[in-house]
Amino acid sequence: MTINVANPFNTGDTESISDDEIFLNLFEPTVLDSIPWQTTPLAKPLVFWLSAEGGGKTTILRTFTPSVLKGVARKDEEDPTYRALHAIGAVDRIGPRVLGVHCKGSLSYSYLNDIANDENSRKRLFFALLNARAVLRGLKALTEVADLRYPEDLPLLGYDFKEDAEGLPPNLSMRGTGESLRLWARSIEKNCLDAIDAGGLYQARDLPKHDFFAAQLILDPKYWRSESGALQLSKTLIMIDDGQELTREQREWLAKSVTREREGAHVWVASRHNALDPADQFLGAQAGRELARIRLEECWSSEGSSNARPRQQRDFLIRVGTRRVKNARATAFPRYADMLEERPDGPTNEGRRSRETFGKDLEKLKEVVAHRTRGIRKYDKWVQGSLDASATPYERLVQLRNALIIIERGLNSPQAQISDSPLPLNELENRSDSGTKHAAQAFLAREFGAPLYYGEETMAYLATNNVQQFIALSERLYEEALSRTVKQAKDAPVPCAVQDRIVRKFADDRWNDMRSRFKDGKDMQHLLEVMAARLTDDFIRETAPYAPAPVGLSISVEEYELLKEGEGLSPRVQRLREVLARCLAENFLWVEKRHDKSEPHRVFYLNGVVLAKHGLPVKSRQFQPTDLEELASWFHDGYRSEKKARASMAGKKRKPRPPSNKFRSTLKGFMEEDEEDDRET
Amino acid sequence: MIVKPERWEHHLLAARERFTAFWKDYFTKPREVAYILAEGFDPRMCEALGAIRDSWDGNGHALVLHLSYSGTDAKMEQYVKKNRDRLGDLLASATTTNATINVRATAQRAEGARQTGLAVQQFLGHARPRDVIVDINAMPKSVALSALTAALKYSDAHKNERVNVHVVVAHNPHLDDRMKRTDIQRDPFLLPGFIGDFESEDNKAVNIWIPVLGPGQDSQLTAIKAEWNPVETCPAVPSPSVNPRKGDDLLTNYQDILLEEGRFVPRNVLRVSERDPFEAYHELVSTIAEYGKTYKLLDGCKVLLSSHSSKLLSVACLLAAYDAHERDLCDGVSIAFVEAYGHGYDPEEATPPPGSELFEMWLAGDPYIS
Repeated sequence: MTINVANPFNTGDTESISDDEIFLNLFEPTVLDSIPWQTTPLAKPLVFWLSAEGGGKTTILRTFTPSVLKGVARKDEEDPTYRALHAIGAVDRIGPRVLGVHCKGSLSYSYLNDIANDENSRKRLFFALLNARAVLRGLKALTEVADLRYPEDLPLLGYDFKEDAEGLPPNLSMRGTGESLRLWARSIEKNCLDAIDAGGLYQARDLPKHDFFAAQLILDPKYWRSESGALQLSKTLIMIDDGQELTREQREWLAKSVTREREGAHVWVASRHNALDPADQFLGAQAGRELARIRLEECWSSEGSSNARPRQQRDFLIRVGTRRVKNARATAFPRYADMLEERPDGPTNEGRRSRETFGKDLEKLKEVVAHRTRGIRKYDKWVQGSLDASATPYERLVQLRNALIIIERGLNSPQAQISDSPLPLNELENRSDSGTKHAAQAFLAREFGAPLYYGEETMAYLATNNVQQFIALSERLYEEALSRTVKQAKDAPVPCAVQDRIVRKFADDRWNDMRSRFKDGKDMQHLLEVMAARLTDDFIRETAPYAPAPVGLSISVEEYELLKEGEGLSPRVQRLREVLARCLAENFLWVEKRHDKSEPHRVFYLNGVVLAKHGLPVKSRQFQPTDLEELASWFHDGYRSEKKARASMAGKKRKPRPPSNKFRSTLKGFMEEDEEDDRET
Repeated sequence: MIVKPERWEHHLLAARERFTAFWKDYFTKPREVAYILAEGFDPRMCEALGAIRDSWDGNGHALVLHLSYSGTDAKMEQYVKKNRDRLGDLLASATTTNATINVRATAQRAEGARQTGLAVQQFLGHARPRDVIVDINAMPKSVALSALTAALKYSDAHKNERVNVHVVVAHNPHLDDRMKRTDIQRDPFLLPGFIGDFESEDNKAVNIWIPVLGPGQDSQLTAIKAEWNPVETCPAVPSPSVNPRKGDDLLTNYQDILLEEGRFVPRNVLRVSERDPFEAYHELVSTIAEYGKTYKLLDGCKVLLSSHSSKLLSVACLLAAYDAHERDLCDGVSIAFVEAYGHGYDPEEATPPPGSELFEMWLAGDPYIS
C-alpha cells in the first residue's frame, strides 16, 4: 500500500495516521530494539514513558493495540516487526497475546477538581471516570481481538469475575455481557462529563466514585469469553497516552493505586517530560521495584565518554526515512539516502558548478597554507600529499584544510621548533581523524561558503532524538526532490548545496518561530545564543581542539541536582533555571549524562536546528564544562567572546564574518590582492 | 421527529446609532444590573460601558476580571492604566467584585476560560441580578465565550426569574486584524461547558470542522486540524465584509491547511455576515443541522466550531453551539481554541483604525419569554 499523498513525510505524526495498514508500513521495528523489554516495560506494574513531543511515545503504544498486532500476526515469521513483538510475547501466529487498551489523558480529568472540594472525592471521581473510559476502550479492544463488531456484537462477549476478583467498583455485576458492562461504563462517563460541562452547578455527591484504578482487573482476559470460547490472551496492558494532561496529584494517585493496591497490573503512561519540571520529579522518587520510567531519548543514548552519537538511533531515523520514501507514489527512490546527494561536487549540474568554485577556493587555500608554512619544510609532504591529483577539488580542499588544522596544532605545540625535517605523509593520517576532517568541512563552510549540512547521516544528527523534527525536515527535502524529479522526468536527488540551504532555512524558521510562539521566547533565544556563542569560540580555534566542535555545555551533577530541586537558588540562577526548563520542554536543549575528567556531569546539548542556525557542525557529541554561576552570568550579562570569528572567503556569496586575528594576518596578503583584482576589474 | 425552531430565530440586535437609543429606553424601567467585563489594554474596553452609562445610573453589581497574561507586551501597560482609570470613574457607584484569572496557574491550557466560567458563576450566584450585561471588549475570545456561556446557563437555570442577558461589543475589524498574538500554545482545547460529547469514549461519530476564518491564524488552524482530524472541513468566511475580497484572500491564504485531499469541497464554503452575528448564527446552526441530518444515516457526526475572526462572529459561534447542543442537532458540538498568552497591538501605527461600532445583543430574558 502506498500513501495517498504527494509527499510521504506529510502524513504528520502517529496520531494523524488513521489507517493501521499505513501505520504498520511506516513502522520501523528497530525502535523496539532500543527498549530494555525484559527488565522494565513488561516486568513492572507501572511504567512511565517519557520524552519530548515527537519522541515516539505514541508510536510504541499504538504498536500494542489489537488492530496493529493482528496486522503483525499476519506477517511472515521472519518479518522484523513480528520477530521483535513475538520475542516479548505480544503476538504469535494466532494473533495478539496482549490486550492493549489505548486510552488518552484529557483535560476533563483536571476539570473534575472543579466539582469536588475534598481530596478524597476528587480522587474517587478521577478513578471512576478513568475506569469507565478504560473499560469502554477495553471493550472495543476485546471485540477487535475476537473479530467482532463494536458495539453490535458486545452481547457475544461474556465475563464472570468469580469470587477471586476483589476490589471491584460498586454497582458492577459479578457476571454479565460486554453490552451490560458498556452500559455501566457509559453511564458513569456520561454522569461525569455532564457534571464537568455544568461546571460548579453540579453536586459531586450525586456522582459515581471508585476507590481504585480497577480497569485492568475488569479487563483481565481470564474473566472473559467470547461465544467461540476463551480468548487467546495472556495479559491486559492499559496504556494511557498524553499523561501530561493528568494533574500531578492524579498521576500520584494512579501510581499509588497501581503499584501498591493492585497486583498483576500492567499500566503504561506516556507523557511529555521536562527534566527540570518539578511536577515530574515525583517519578524519580518513586521509581523502583514497582514503577519504572523510561526516557526514550536515554534509550538511544549511551552513558560514557564516547563522542560519537549512538549509531543505532541514526540508523533508526534513516530507516524511518527509507520507509517513507519507499511508500511514495510520485518517486521511486529505493532508500532515504538516494533522495540526498552525498558529495558536494557530485555528478549533477550543481555539482559541476561547485567543482569550478572549489577549484578556485583550493587555490586560495593553497596560498594560505603556503603563507602559514613559509620557511618551514617539515610540512611539505603533508601539503603535497593533500593535493592528490586523483581526488576531486572538494576532496583536495577538505584534505588540505584538514592538513592545515594538524599543521596549526604542530605550530602551537612546544616541540614546534625542535626539528624541521619533512614529516612523512602517514604521520598526517595518524594525527587526523573523522573529527578533524569534519572540522575541516565545517571551516570550509564558514570560510568559503561550502555546504555543510547534507547527506542522510547529517539529517539524522539534525533531528536530535526527535522523529517529528526529522520528518518535518525531510518533508521539505522531499518536496525539493519531487520538484526536481518532475522537472527532469527522472528521480533526481537534492544537491548538497540545496540541502544545506533547506536545512539553514528550516533552522531559521524554527528560530524565528520561537520568539513569537513561546512564553519567554525572547529569553530562550538569548540563552541559546550565548550558549552557541560560547561553543563557537572553541569551534573557530585554528587547532580545532574539540574537533569537530563542542555542541553542548555541561555542569556538575551536584549543580544539576540543585537545578532540579529548584530551592535555595539565587534569583539570577532561578531565572536561568526557568528558561533552561522551557528550552528543554520544547526540545531546543536535551540533557545527557556524561563524564568530565572522571567527574559525572550533565550536558545540555543544543538541538540540531540551533546548531545549524549558528553554523556549528552537528556530527559531534563534544561538550565544554561550565558551572551555573558562569552560565547565569552569560545569560544575564551577555557572553563576551575573547576571540573573533573567522572571515568568510566566499565574499559575496555568504554573509562575511570578521576573521580571527591570527587568520586575518595569514590571509591579509592575498585578501589585499583580491581587493586589488576587484578594483582592476 | 419535531425539530424545535432556532432559539434566536427572532432576536434583538441594536447596533451603531440604535445602541444608545436602546439603552436609554432599557433604563426607563428599574433594573438590577450585573455588569461583567475584563480589564486590559484594548482601546475599546470602556467604549460600550461609557455609552451605556449615559443611560444607566451606575448602581448595581460589577465583576471585573483581571487576566494575568504575563506575556502581555510591557508597552501595553500604559494603556491598561488609562483604561483602569476610566473604568474607576464609570463604575464608581457599582458594587465591584474583582476576580484575578490566573491564566498560568497550572500547566492546563484552558485555565483562563475555566476560571472565568467559575468566577462568573460564583458572581451571579452571589449578586442574583435580573439584568446581566457581558462586555467582551477586553476579553480574549475563550474567556469571552466562557463568561457568556456561564451567563446564559445562569439565565436558563433561573427561567422563572426572567433573567435578561445582554452582550455588548465595540466592533472594529481593522483593530482586530491589527492585534498581535504571541506565545501561542501548542495544544488546542475545547470551550469548558462543551466538552462532554467530544470526549466521550462511547461516541463513534466523525468530526466535522467549521472554522470561521480570520487573518494570521495559520498555527491555530493547523493545531486544531491535527488534534481532531475532521473528515470534512467547512470554512466560514466573512461576507459581506468591509473588505469585499477578505473571504477570497483568507481562502487563498489557508489553502495549504484547508485544501487537503478529499477533505475540502468548494461548495462547503460558508459566507457569514461580518456585522450581523444573528445572521451568522443562523448560517452556522443551519449548517450544523444539515450535517447532523445527513450523518445520522451513518454513525453520526460531531461539529467543531472555531472562531478565528472578530468578537461578533465568535459570539455567533457560541450561539450556534449553544443552540445546537440544546436542540440535539448532531452527536456533539463544541468550540475549539488555541490560546495565545501574549497580546498587544501597535497604537502608533501610521494609519489609525476607524472608530468602532457598538453592538448590543439581547440573548435571553424578557423578549424570549411569552
